[in-house]
Amino acid sequence: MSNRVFISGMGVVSPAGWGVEPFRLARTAGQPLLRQELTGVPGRPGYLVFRVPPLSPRPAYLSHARLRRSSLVSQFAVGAAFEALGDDRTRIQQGELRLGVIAAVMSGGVNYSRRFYQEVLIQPSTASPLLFPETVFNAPASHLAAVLGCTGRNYTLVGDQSAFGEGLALAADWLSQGLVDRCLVVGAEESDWLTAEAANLFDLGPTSEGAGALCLSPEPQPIELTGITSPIPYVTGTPTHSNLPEIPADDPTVSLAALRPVLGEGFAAAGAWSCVAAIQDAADQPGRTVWAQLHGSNHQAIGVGFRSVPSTRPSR
Amino acid sequence: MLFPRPPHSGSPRRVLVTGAGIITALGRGWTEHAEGFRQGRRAFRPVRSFPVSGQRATLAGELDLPPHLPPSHLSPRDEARLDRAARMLLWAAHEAWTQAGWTPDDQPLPLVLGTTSGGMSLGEAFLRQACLPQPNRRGQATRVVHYQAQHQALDLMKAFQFHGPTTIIANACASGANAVGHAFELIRHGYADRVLVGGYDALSQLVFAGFDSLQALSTTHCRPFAADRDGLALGEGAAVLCLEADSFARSRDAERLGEITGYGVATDVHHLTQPQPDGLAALATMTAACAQAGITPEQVGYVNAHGTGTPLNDRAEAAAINQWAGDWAPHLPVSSTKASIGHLLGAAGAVEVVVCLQALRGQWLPPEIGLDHPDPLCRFPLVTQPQDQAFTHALTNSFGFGGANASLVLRR
Repeated sequence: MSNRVFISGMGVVSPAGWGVEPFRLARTAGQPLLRQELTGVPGRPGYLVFRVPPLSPRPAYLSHARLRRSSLVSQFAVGAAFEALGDDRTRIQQGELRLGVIAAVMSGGVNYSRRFYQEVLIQPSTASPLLFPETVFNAPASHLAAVLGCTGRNYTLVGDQSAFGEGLALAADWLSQGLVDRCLVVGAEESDWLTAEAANLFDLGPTSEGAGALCLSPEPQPIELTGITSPIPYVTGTPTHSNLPEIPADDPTVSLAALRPVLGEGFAAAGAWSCVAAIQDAADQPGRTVWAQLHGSNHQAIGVGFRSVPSTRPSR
Repeated sequence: MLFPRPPHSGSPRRVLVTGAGIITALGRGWTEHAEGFRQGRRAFRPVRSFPVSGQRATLAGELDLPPHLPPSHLSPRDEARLDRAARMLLWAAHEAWTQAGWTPDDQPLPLVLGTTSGGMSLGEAFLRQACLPQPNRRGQATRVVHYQAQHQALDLMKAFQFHGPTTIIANACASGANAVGHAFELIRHGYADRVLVGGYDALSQLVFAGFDSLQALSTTHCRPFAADRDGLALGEGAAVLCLEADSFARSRDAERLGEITGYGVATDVHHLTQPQPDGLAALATMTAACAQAGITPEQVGYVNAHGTGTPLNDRAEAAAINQWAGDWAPHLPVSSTKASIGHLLGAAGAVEVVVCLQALRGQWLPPEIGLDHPDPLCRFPLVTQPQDQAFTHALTNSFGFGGANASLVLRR
């Protein structure tokens, strides 16, 4: 089994819109997107956060029974995943390809969690049983598997922005072990007043929401995953912001900080967006590895490298 | 580099358990648990950690945390910030680490943890304080940071002075089993010589109220696989394992507590919270785990069932065990230790691996005392009395919300 891993597709849901192209345009423009105010406690000022614009017309897949009452984080995850899967989705649903699913989240279904707990605090006996199941971290990955009919491997990883990089490493392991034919890695988050309140304590700037997804394949594609660095955990409590030692000094990089002014702080989704941005940069520099440096906010730093491979078929 | 991995040649490596730590409502440590599980002791009481008076159920496997923490490299300031879940994790890790005889060194040591809630009690406290009419930010930053599971991982690294890649798996109630399975695969495929792995979860008001809202909690007492079962009981605790490649453990003459030989994982896409009635995903994981272990159901001497005590879970799991074991089912002892300590959610899979290791080493089966009327769906014998048994292989099941299913096979 070859140890090489390629990117067969990518998807983005972000405050710029639903799709990789709006993300690219927003990144190129470099201007902060519109923000909306979220309020939590009556009489107190709210927080300005970046929101994903509603999708119009609403695509058919969001009418799936599993998504009807799902939280936004699940819908974002599915939206990004479907874009990343592209034509492979049909082959997966027909059982021709075994798909692994890995989701990375930091806050996960925070909106339903906050609402459910507030109901508990008022009167636990009337807290809604419709909300509680959506509070589990693996709800987005579960819904995604259900919509695709995938009964194979499905993990949800919890962490900061670096969790998306961990997910890519795990996906590469599953591919190299022959456990799956494709592996989808999704980073997703949703906005909530509670998250904004927490982020405000750390001067992280306006929070954001959305998802990013990469589909990994062992079959040659125009973009190759070239490396994932050893993570540097913040055991001493001090996040590092220096270049990661395993990244060659001359290689171009994309940082989380570069996207933040345009898209806000998207936590696990931002880890995914940075990788998509690195892929877009790599496509413009054939033969060079471009690294997404995921200096997470409170866990670890990890680097993910991508390279454009000139001799493969055109990208979708 | 996490990728590309150095090429590993040769056959998959054997994975030994050389340290195990456990803390639950039954007590603290290997010996106390071995005695408790062997006798089928039950450890439930009215919940004291948070108010439950407005709910259908009031009992849980709640533990009394020791007033102090085990010795570690955490400062008093660090220790003061640990929530209940982190303290449980630290106790279990200390026992495992000490038992394995590990010492800090410069080599990266992967850490794999399974949890559903991390430091949820801190998250709850954050929300309660954030919603006060007059904002009070005192302590809020600490609550945000320590609520998150990645911080509990960092605390462990600091406590035992190691570093390495961390993987935190949140696959609902299969998290602990998935964590052990992932650690098993890291060693088996040559990605690491040793891995520290565990599962942990503390009782929290949100989760307790959540299961209560679903009417999944027993209002009497939890009795998995009973014909008249009426729900699960929640519990809390942690279990941590030191896993090593066989060659690595032998090179340092480490004592082996047992061996992990098989791991199966599948996703049930039937419903977010309900299993497919025939237990097809469970059947797939048991079949895959045994295939990897190179054994047949006839060679399995004991199944530690997921066995939550809810009508739907136990029916689906019974169907899966019946089909998987086939003609061997009437000879296959099965029990659920959730009857003793409750459902530990993200900790359950790791805790139940420790139970299986204890049973394999002691050659006994953990009973469900007081199970008088087994569900006739169960074609397999349920262990209802303390029982000695010679056996070599055990299988443990873990299933969770979202359709997360995992099975592990252990060898004596």
